[in-house]
Amino acid sequence: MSGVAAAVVLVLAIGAGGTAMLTRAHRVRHRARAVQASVMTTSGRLVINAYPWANVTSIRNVSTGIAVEIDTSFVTPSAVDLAPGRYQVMLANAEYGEPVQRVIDVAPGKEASINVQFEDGARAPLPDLEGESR
Amino acid sequence: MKRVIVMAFLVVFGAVAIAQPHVDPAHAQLQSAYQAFAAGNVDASDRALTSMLRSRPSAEAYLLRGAVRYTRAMLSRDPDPMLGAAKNDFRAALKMKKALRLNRNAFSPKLVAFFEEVRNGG
Repeated sequence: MSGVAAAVVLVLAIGAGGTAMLTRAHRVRHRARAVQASVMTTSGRLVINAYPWANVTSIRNVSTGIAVEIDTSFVTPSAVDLAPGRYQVMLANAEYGEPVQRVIDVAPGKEASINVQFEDGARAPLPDLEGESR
Repeated sequence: MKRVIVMAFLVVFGAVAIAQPHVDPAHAQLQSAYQAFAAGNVDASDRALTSMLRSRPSAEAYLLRGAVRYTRAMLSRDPDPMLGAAKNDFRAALKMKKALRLNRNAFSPKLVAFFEEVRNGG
């Protein structure tokens, strides 16, 4: 009989532990969602496009001087979420000599965009769409 | 005198008409859609190419719309639906014309890589 009681106690203990773990996991998930929501509402978004295309070589917060960590192969077209502020963005394409610099304000919850034209896209001839890739 | 003026008009008009190069309307539409894309007006370019594809489907129009939709995906918060649409366009283009290529000077390297991935069955 005491064996049965011990088994019941064991089952109850495991159940309680499991419930506690689930509750904790739920709390962690809830907190993660809250943090994510807070980041989404406080950050802004920077959309970067270029013609024909560009490597984004740096993004630096003008007020703090701090550079944003970006991938070494950050190529247009791309978008990045940033804390609100004024940013200096450097874009380069080896075919067009000197890099191009743009300064742009990113506002909370808003989308800012940069469109660099190394050549006038509105007058660009249609490229050859057949033959070998160059 | 009146006859001379009419003759002169006809000669000038004829010369101008002959000098005009023949412009393929489909090529002109494609060029215009490409220029909208290159200038950064991706939504306008998408609309123009969709309209072209409705009236006369072509491999080049599918290819360009794929490039436009890939760009829209990269600029979007939710890229997956547009990326899928770009892939479908590239598949349709390659089905019509296997020799299609995206020029590496005119298009982003990651767009070219995505297109080549689709060509290779990705």
